[in-house]
Amino acid sequence: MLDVGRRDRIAIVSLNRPERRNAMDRDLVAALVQALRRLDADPGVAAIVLRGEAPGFCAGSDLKFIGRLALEEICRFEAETGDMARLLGFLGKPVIASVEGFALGGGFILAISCDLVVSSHSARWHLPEVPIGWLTPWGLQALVARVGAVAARKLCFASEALDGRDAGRLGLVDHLTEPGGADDAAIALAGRLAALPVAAVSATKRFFMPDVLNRSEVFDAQANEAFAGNCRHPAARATLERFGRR
Amino acid sequence: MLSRRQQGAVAILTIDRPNRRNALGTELMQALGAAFDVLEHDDGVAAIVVSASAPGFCAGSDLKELAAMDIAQMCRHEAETARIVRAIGFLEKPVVAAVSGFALGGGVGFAVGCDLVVTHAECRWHMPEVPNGWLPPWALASLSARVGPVAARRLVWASEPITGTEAHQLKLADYLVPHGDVESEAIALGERLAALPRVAVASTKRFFAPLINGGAEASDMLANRIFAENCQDATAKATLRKFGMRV
Repeated sequence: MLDVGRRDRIAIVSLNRPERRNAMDRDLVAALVQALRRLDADPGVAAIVLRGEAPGFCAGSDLKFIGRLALEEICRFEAETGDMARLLGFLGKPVIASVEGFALGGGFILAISCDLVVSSHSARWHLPEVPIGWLTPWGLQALVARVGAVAARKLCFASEALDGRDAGRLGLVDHLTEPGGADDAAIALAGRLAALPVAAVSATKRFFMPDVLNRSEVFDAQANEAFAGNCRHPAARATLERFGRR
Repeated sequence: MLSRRQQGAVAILTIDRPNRRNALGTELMQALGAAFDVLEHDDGVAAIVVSASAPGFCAGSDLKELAAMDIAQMCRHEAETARIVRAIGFLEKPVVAAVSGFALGGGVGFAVGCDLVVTHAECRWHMPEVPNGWLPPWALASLSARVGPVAARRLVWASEPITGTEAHQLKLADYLVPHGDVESEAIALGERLAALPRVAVASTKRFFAPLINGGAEASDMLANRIFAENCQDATAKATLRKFGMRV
């Protein structure tokens, strides 16, 4: 479900639920939190790479999982997922997302919640939440920090899917690679960060924290509430019922 | 050290310390602060261009001068440099930076402290502070105002130097022109601004100042404190000793 490997002072965390397109359920989120906390406390780790096993980075919340939950349970799960994504920003060490294949919904937000984002230029980036009936319930501050409020709102309306190149132009992605090259580029970038003085790298992350994450907790609480409201509407209920039955 | 000339209503300040790669020493900073003050109150001046003699725009702090300081003196020196650069954002007149060759460390901070930035494709933009062992002690608010906090943090981590082309893509620079034309294009931009109604240009600068420079003082104070902390770290001390400081 979640694999943690090491290469010198770089930890490589891999989402490994290929049969669910690396979508997140409660166990995966809990495993991520545990792994991130452990790696942050490990003095032998200087940088963390977050990636997904093929076919892609992450397809977001596992709709099959949440489709079976009561609404209050869904909202609680999404809040926990949001807590996990904010944790990425509050770690003392830099976290680099390596995106191949796709980053969809919560997977899109999970990637940009990392400090640096590497993506193949052909990877598919899309937030499909509004078309299926609800506002993205967490991580919108990370989106605003990267692209500004106006572009963030446009992305949430989800009028179009992006490829890695579009995502790069918008500032969602920091480094573009050929398809199949994201992991190598992310690990090389992590290696360069790991070679820098630890105190200064950490001070830089801490210094920018108020601007990058400033209202993230309040945003997440508000988005969760809007999400709950949206889920009572017919469009969202139809989506949840469709996936829950599968 | 710093020369001034005039073209129409545009005043051109040229940093001229090529033997120190146009580094921001105490004397140069005082001269810059005094020059901005004079130009702000000179009715014959409607726009200001800051340029530099070859080999490049500015190499940041003057390491030779730092060598004679202790850490506390260095922090005070950086705070004073920060104050003079921040004041650019609160002048009534627009200031254009003509960045050729290189902008390094405090040179990047100085460039983004100006209102508009002209550069060329091959220009080297780099912040070597984190590799040296410390957070840059000022200018991070101006950097964030230009590129947003996420890209600003990436640039400060400085795991790679960037070219003028990339600086322009990131909106660190506003105009990308051929190498030989950086100064003349900056002056032409100054002339276009100088031809506009002065009160409207000044009002525009004043209106956006809270958004662009509003938090700059607090940001610089915090960065200076973190810088001081980082300088106590072993890696940073090793770098400072390489500079010649006795720490």
